[in-house]
Formats: sequence, structure tokens, C-alpha cells
Amino acid sequence: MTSHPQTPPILSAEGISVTYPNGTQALRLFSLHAKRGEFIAIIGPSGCGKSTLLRVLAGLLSSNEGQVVFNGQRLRQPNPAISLQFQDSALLPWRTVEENIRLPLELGITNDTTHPQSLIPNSQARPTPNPQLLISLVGLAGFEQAYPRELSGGMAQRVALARALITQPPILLLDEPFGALDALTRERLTEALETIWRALSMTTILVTHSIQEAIFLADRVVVCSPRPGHIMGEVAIRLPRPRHWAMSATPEFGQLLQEIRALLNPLP
Amino acid sequence: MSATEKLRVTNQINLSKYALPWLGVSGVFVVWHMISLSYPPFILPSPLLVAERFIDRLQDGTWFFHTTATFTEALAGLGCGVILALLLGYAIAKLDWIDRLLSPIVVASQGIPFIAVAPLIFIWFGNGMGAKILLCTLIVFFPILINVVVGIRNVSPTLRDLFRVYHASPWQSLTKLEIPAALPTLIGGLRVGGTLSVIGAIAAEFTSASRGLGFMIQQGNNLYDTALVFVGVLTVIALALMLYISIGWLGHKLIKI
Repeated sequence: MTSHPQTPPILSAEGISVTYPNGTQALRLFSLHAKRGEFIAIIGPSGCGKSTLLRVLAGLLSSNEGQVVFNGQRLRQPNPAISLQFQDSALLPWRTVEENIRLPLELGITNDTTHPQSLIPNSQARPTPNPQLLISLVGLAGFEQAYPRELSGGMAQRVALARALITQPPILLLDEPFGALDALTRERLTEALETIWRALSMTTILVTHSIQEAIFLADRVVVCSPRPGHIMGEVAIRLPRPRHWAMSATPEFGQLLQEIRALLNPLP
Repeated sequence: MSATEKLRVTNQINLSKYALPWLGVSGVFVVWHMISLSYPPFILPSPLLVAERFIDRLQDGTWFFHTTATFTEALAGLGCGVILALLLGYAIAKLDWIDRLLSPIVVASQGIPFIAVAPLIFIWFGNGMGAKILLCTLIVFFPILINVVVGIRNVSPTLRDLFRVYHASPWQSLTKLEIPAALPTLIGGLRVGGTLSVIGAIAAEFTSASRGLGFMIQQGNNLYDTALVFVGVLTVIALALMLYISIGWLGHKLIKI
């Protein structure tokens, strides 16, 4: 959980630039290094290429310049070891909650595991978490047989989170997972996410445009500029864990808030 | 709302849901009967006369004989059309070069008035069952194809990304993502196709046949036996409805969304 400067990063973006075919440059020379078990929040105004960055980190989109290095190897295609939770929950409407959560396992069974990129590099035997355990961890017990249409937005995102975690991925990428939710649900889910992160200790990169959420969750907040996105500054968050929302009233929290706001809106 | 009021509302809903369609259909028969009173039976036979002719034909076995012939052709044509449309539609939806190569031909072919050129099809492919099934297939094919293409292309890109992240094989993507996602659109195409297949079979029998409902209707026309024509037409309607409803029921069973 704490950062060890000597350990090599498990996932890094090295000088990533992405220009879309229509000419918009989404990212310019973006570099980011995530240490094992670290929680990084990336914050920035809408359209600063945050979602593009996550797609590049997940191997879904290749960059025009630079490279993504995962566990010492260049990432050229998606890797099941890098789980991505999408902005919309992306559930299969014809599957129940439990069937949706099990999907990655089902797809993994006949996966070509001999492929070097698809091996999950974490030699300590990590048993596949029991779906039932995960369901209760994200607070969905009793809804296993429900269909996505019967769920609220917050519950759908919990299902998506459980699905992203079912393979015990060493890396979890979160693309504004709570963006579309109301403030109260959002606070509850943020707390749940922090608890789960402490329990499973996966390296997590969260993209958000809520400063509070970023401070609450992260070890390190990376502040992004408007398009083309590049890093404008970084703030280390040294609040104790477990975190709870009462902390947001403390002077430390307020100071971090000010610091990040200043980075986001530099004075001319 | 009190319990009795609730009951009344429920009754009203049931009444309008089940009774109104029957009321509409019986209304048509009543009006039909009234009008038929002022015309000779070979212009417009009364529903009673039609029912009488139906019972005649049921008893001598010819109704069943013709109906089975038409139903077999329609079902076989629908089956061939569906298989063809599924294969080609999937290829068009997935592969750009196939889309560019074949789409203009497929769309242009829909300008062909198949019913008008049916005699030619019989000259080319003979007078048998095969040519009739072919005509059905040609008529059914296009609407199903369009629905397959639309259904597969409309699969959400986010869900496709999800399957890419987990290295899903093409077969897994097909069975676990594309087919379930496209199913509602597909069933819609099948319902249209089912109705069209019966019309295709009748058109084929009109051109050249010694059996089938199309043949029976034409026999009625030639003999000025308008009641027989009506028996044929009503049977065709029943067949088309049956296909439409059973495909809808199948869809309802398969689609869990």
C-alpha cells in the first residue's frame, strides 16, 4: 500500500500521445508509473483524454507515440490481467447478476492460456474468489438472480465492479465508475470501493472528475490538463486508512482540495 | 382505490384486452354477411356459404391436401431463406469487403419483381417443389438479411471491448454476445419473413401447380366458385397468422431481456 521507490512499476505509460483520425489530439506525451498495490486517481476537466488514457492502458487502443509497459513487457493488446470497468456498467441484459459476474471466468475457460500475454503475472497462487463472497463484498447479496433492468444505476455499477474483480486482476482500471450516480449513492460506493481495495490490494487507476472522490480513494492524485491531456501536477495523499467521509471535514482534506484546485485552475 | 373499484378496473382491462379483438373480427363477419345479401354468391358469397364450402372440402380431404402442400413449401422456403440470410448477413455485418462486394448486388436484386418473373423460374428450374421453395426463399431472404445485419452491427461497442479485454474467441463472441444481443431484431425479421413465405408459396402455386392453396384459389376463380376462393384466402390468412404468432412466441421464450 505504501510506495517503495525501489520497486519497479507494474504498469507504466511512457510518453503516450494519441491523435484521433479526425485530427484531435487526445493525449500528448503522457507518462505515468503505477507501483504494485498503489491507488492512483487521475483528475481533469471533461475531454482531457482520461478515457483515452484508460483505453490505452487496457490495451484496447494503441497510441501513436510512446508505449505501455506491463510487468516489464510492452503491452500490445488487451490483457485479462488488466481489468477495466467502463463508464456505463456494460452488463449483458440477458444475464442475471451472478451470470454477469461469472462472465470473465466463462470466457477464460477456453482461453489460450499458453499465450504469453494472457498469463497473469503474480506467481503467488491467488485462488479465484468465490463469486458469492464477491457479491456480498460489493453489497449485492440477495440480488444474484436479478436481471440488470431490475437494478438501479448504483447496483449495476456494483455488479460491474464485482465482474472486474472476479479474475483477481493485479490491475484494475476504473473509468468514472460513479459518474452517473447521485451524490449519496456515490459516497457509499466510494467507501465500498476503498474497503474492497484494501481487502484485495490490486493496483488501481481511477479516472474521475470529482476532487473529493480522488482524495478519498487515492494514494496519489494526478492532475491532467485540458486537451491534449498531459500531466500538470501530482499530489500525494497521506491520509490514514481506512478512510471515511468524516475526514472530508478535516483541515488536511481541505488543504489537499485547495492544492488540487490550484493545479486544475492555474492563475494566469 | 377500493377493492371493488380495483376489480372493476381489472375487468375493464380484461374486457378491452380480450373481448375487443373478437368484437372487431365478428363485426367484419356481420358486415360482410349484410353486404352479401344484396349480391349473387359468385360476386360475394355470404360467410355461411363459405363455411359450408369449407366443411365440404374438409370432408373430401382436399382442404388438408392443399394446405399441407402450401405449408410445406412456405416452411421450407422460410428455412432456406433464414439460413442463407443468417450466413450472408453475418458476413456482411462483420467483413467490410464482403459488404462492399455483395451489398449492391443484394440490394439491386430486391428490385426484381419475383412474382412477375415466377414463370421464368419455373422454366429454368422445372415445375417441381424445388422451384416453389426457391421462389419462397427469394422473397423471404431480404427482410431477414437486413435484420441480421442491423442486429449484429448494433451490438454495443463497449460490450465488444469487454469481450476483447477477456480475450474472447470469435465463437465465444458469437454465442455469448452477438446472438443474444441481436436476437430481438432477428425475431422481428423472422416474423415478417414468416408472413412473406406464405405469400411466396401462393404466388408460386398461382404460376404453376397442381396442388396447394394457390392452386385451389385459382380453381375457384376459374369455376366462379367464389366461396372456394374465400376458403383459400382465409386459410392463407390463418397460416400466416400462425407463423407470425409462433415465431413471436419462440422469441418470447428465447429473449430474457
